[in-house]
Amino acid sequence: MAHRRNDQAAPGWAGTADDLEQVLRLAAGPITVQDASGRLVYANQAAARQIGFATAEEFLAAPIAEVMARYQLIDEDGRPMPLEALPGRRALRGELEPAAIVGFRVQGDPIPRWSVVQATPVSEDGHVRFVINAFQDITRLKDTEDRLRILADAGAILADSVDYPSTLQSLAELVVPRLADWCVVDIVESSGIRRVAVAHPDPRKRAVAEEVQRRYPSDPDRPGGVGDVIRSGRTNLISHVTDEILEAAAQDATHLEMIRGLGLRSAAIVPLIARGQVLGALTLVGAESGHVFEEADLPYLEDLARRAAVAVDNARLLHEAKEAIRLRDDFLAMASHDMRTPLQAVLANIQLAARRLGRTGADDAQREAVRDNLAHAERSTGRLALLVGDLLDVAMLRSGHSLTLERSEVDLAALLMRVVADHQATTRTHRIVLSGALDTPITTDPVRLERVLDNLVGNAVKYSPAGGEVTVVVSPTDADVAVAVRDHGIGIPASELEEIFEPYRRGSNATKLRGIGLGLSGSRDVIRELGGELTVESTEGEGSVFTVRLPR
Amino acid sequence: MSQRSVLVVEDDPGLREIYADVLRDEGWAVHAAEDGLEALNALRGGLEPCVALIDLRMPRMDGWTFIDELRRGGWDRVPFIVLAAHYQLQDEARRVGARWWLQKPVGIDRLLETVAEACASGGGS
Repeated sequence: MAHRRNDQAAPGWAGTADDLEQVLRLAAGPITVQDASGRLVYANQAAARQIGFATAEEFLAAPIAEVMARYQLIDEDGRPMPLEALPGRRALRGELEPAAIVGFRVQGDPIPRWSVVQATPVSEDGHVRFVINAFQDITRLKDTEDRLRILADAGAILADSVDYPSTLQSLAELVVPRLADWCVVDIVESSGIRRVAVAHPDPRKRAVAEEVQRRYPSDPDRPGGVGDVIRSGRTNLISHVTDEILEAAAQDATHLEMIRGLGLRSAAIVPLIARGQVLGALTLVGAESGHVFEEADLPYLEDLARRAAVAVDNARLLHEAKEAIRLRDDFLAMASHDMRTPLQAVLANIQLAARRLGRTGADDAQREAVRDNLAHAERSTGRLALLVGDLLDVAMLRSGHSLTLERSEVDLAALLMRVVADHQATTRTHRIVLSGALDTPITTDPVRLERVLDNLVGNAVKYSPAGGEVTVVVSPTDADVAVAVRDHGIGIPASELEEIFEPYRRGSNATKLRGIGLGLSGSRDVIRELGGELTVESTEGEGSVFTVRLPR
Repeated sequence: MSQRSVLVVEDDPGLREIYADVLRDEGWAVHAAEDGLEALNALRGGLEPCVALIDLRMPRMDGWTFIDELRRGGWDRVPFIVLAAHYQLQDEARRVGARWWLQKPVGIDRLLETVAEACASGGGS
């Protein structure tokens, strides 16, 4: 048909009545006219095609019953819509410009078409003579809206993804039947590909599919199958599932019959990709409801798959993190038990031996010698016990957890004297001097404080290899108390003063001296846990002062 | 019971022995059990300790369960001390409602002091 173009068209266009009839008849939008009784008296070509008639003439000549049988009207929520609710009927009842969104479920086409229907009454002498109905197809718009809603709902489901198999099942149930008739999710697990979700609105169909899967497990190596998509990370789109495709996929005649019975028409297998890794595949299949997947649908489907993949990934990361915490807790519990139990036996035996020594008949010299041995063993055991506590605390702090503190009023003088005595016993070249306001009352965790001070005094001795005086000075203020440990040793290079508080670091001039335990990094962490600060002042070659400042 | 007695519940044989030695040297009568079940049987058999010294991690019946059983079986007037190597012992001790707890390794002076204090706090024996 020749298209007529007239650049000087309306308002001056003087078309004939035939021309106007032609315009109306061929207009792209469906138009119908009803008379005052509601009977259909005119329909253009588009209106006829809308409900499956070849021509307008055929539509107008058809008996009303036949017309009505051809389609079902539905409202926006998918419920049947009574004829009285149509805008044309409402215009006949006197409404001025009624409009409504109307869905047409035409026989033979499972996918409803959506239109905005606007009715315009034409009146004479106050009586409606006829009503013009104009239809505007909004099926695509409605689809887009639906899809956005699915995406939003999917986001809400996936956000709660601690247990991803059940989350993915909810996702699969969300998308059928709105997006597809079937939704299947397969996930790669250590043992292989596992089908974690299958959804179809009809449980009987689901049972058939399960039966097919049971009798004919899908071959992971089949080209274009789920395994293939997972390996390649590329979507496989089969817009139109032909019988040849089914024949190629079937393993035998029974299998072919079974999959034919499922009525598969269109399929998209989309990889689930997160952080560059293919975690599985999302398979969407159109069947009885006529969903057809096209190239243009892929960005949307891939977006949906990406969201699912991120949720699976997050759930796995969360699981791994929890597992790591559990392993750490197990380790701490085991290490604590396994190290402290023998320590308890050693300590109690040494102490009991020392007590019993006082009651035996050995001569004074022998008794003194054994007492020395036992005192040495007891000190070493005490130090070992402190180290074990340090190791466990450091493990706890390194994994980002705080310590359970046991605060009490601390006898600072006794604590410091113990620390000083322990270290004085290890050296003859150093003199460890305690001074200041030793009777300052303080409430803190005595075990942790003792370990830190033990560590600082130990360092002072260790890093002044030539010997000399180590001083421990207590100076209280109203709010806090400072304990300063000063040595006259090798000191710390100025550029490294902060680095020495990093884990496993020591000064570059101290490489020959080795040690494990709390270290300065752990000491600072512990003092912070106690609400205080550990600071250092040092001059290389002259010595260092480490100061613990704690609230009182 | 004429002599003040301690029920020691500890699965490590070396520790059971040294606790018993330390306590007996100070004049305590000691009944040592290798786990909660054995201790529970001793109580059911009529043992009336002044104080119980309880480890937490033990086979068959652990310290947590044994402390529950103490309450359920009507022995809730027996003061008990949790003496364990558990990492966060303070938390665990609070959870089981222990008034006394000692982290292993503990010196024998402290152990004896705590046993005497717990025993003195008890209602009877």
